[in-house]
Amino acid sequence: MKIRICYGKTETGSYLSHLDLARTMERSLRRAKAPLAFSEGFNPHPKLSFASALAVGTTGCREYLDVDLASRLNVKAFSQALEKALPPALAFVAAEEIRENSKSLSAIINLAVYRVRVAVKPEDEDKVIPGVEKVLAASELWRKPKEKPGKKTIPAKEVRGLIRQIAVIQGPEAAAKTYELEMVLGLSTDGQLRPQELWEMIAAAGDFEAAPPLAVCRRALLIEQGGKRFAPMEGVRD
Amino acid sequence: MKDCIERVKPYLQQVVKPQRYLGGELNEIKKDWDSVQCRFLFGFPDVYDVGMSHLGLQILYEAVNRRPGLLMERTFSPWLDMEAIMISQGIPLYALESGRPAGDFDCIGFTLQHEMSYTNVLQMLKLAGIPYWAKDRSDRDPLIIAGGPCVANVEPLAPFLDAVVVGEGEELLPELLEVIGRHKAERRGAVDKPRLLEELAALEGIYIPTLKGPVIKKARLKDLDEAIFSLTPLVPYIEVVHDRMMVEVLRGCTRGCRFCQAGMIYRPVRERSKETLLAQARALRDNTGHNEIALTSLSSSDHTCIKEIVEGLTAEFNKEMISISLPSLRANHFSVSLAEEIQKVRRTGFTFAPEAGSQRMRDVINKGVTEEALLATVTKAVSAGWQQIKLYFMIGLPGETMEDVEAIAGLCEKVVYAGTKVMKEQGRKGSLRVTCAVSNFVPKAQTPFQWVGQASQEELKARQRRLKELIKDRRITYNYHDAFTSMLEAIFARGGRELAPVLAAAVEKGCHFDSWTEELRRDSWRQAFEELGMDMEALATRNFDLNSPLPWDHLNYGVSKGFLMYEYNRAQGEMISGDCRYQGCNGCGVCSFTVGDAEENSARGRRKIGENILYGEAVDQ
Ligand code: SF4
Repeated sequence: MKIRICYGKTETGSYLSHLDLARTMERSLRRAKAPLAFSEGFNPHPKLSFASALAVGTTGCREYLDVDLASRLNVKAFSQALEKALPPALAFVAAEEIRENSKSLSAIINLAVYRVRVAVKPEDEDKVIPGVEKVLAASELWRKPKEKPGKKTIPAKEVRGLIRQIAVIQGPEAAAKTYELEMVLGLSTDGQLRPQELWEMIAAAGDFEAAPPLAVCRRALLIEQGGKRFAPMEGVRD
Repeated sequence: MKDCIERVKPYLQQVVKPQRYLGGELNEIKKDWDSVQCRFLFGFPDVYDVGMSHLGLQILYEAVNRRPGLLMERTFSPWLDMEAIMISQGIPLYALESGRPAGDFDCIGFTLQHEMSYTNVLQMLKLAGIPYWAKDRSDRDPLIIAGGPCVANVEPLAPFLDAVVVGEGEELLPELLEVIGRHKAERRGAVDKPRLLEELAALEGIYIPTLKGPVIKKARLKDLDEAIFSLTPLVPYIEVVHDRMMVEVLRGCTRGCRFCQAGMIYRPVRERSKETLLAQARALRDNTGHNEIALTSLSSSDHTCIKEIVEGLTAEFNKEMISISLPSLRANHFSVSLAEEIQKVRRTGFTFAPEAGSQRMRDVINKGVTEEALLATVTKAVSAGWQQIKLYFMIGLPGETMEDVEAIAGLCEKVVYAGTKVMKEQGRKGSLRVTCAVSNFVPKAQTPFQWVGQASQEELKARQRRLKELIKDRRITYNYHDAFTSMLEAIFARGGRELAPVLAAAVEKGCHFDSWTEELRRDSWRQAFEELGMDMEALATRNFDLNSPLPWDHLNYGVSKGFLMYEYNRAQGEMISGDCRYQGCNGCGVCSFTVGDAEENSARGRRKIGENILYGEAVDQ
């Protein structure tokens, strides 16, 4: 049996690396008495497959994970057990059975919705919305190459196609100098655009300085198909 | 702002492993600050990932927090990246549970696991804004206390400490905190420190460095089955050094290795029953979700029912893919069968500690293992499928010659040949891999070798080089310890209060995290000693006269000085002494410590207690 779990990553959880998350999830599943299926070999490990990893420091409202089980379980009872078993870093949202041959989460999820809280200097207040408009109006946008000492340089990339929507949720009148930007970004196997990078592009377009975001939350992971968007799980609505 | 966790949050993206600074783990206990009489902060003088692997922390967390009038929170040394941020932002050392500054607590207790963490204790006080020296602290500062194995000679730190827990702390620490709580309650929250210290001194096992008094007897548990144990330990999010559940199968060891401090200070042997252990293991599994359980102790395979315990655990845990690990196996056939039993889920390497290369040297240190036994064990382990063996050795042991050192290389080769031969016979490809890990002997207080100086730096390095020359076989990986670190350990392990100013000076020069080799500031240490007119090498290598007083004579761990002397004499005569569990009492003295223990602890002894005592009365009792 295979189950899909939807969970949240709290602020404490946002500092977990992907490995920490996998370990924490395995322990939680064990505490919830999930009959985990294990890989063969010298160092057997449970078969957990996560949807695209979150950057460190980013919280998540609806993150997903598929788990292979060795025997059947009652999803309702299991959900209650897992809700109790998750540590403060993680929050339970929903769980449901999925078909054995379901496609992997990374193969189907192609959109991510982020909420980004940013602050700007008082003199730049009027530059945010024009910056957003310029980014949306551009026909192509290039991300700078990424250089890391000791690692291979990631070449520059055209990313305009990944930017689906940017909405300014709160303007300067709601909270002075603080904006909340909702970004809908495409996820593809050959690349992602991080919300922070997009924020830097908006600042460059609007000609102001981009302070690091105050908080970043991934609110949803979605599947877009035939012009419609839906969550990877029936029980979850966005 | 009180909550320091909120204050560090903006900087978490700039540090490695930010989770170290946040708390919020599974099974964390947050008690209401105002509902208790005494608030205790447990300080581990190393980073979170090291400290959270420490079983003692989990036991004390439970022992203190289960009392309604007490609370315990945790703090660790912030790693250098976070430390720099805290200093520049003026954020003090804080507790992970409440985010409160360390200075808010009534009492801060440090665990002293090894000498190289002493500078971290001072650095933590510095980060907390609390004066190092006990005499400089006011009645409003937290009481600074310490416990742990290094208390066996705590004198180098004594001037910094208000009180010291000698021996086993799980019962004594809560008692001590209750006394502080009552003292404060009687004075509307104020402290009269001289009075408080006198009240604390009345507890058995509490040493007050400023009070001249009688010998302090260590605190010790009578019954391990009755002992407090945490069934809901904290479960870290990040990977820590030992990421597993731990059950303590027994405490104490009477094998009698003459270099081993733990083997002397944790006597007598007390076992936890199979029933208790299995019940604890099940509860830990349910409450932590760990996929590994370690059966810890100084020598777990010595438990009288270890086979039944292991069988009981494997029967239940193997199907849940929970692996079982048994650190500290002895080199015998029984160990291999045990290892086969427990390593069905995940197989790791096999580790043995012959400690010395030649039989003569093993007799000197009373390590009761022969070359034949070791080779037979290796043969059995390899035929059971293992292809990696790790061997621990020491160099610089008392009376060691270059020949004894060379024998280490010889023994490793024999192990490789024996193992590889088995693999060939079985038609397996490749050859046995051996890791030869060599540390430097450090003489420790409260052991038979407490009078002996360490080998000089030159000698240690010459012996390390000799081994490097000799170990040419590519199947053997040779690694060795830093000689300078071992010298510092030796200095502090047997030093007196005169070393306290050196510690303070070293910390002022930036020394801390000395056990992290890349952080060890050798020049600063050399300067600190030089400026105070002390010769490091002379301190480390000095021999103590058998008749002169030692800095730790006032701490009584139950094992008499007479016994230690007797064992030292036997070492010089290359004579081995048996394990009192199997060969009768050696008269170390610990069993007459509390009346009634004797028969019990020598349960398997064929001789009567004290029958083969060949020396005079214990001098320190
Ligand atoms: S007093 Fe005797 S029986 Fe007890 S621990 Fe010491 S040597 Fe063993």
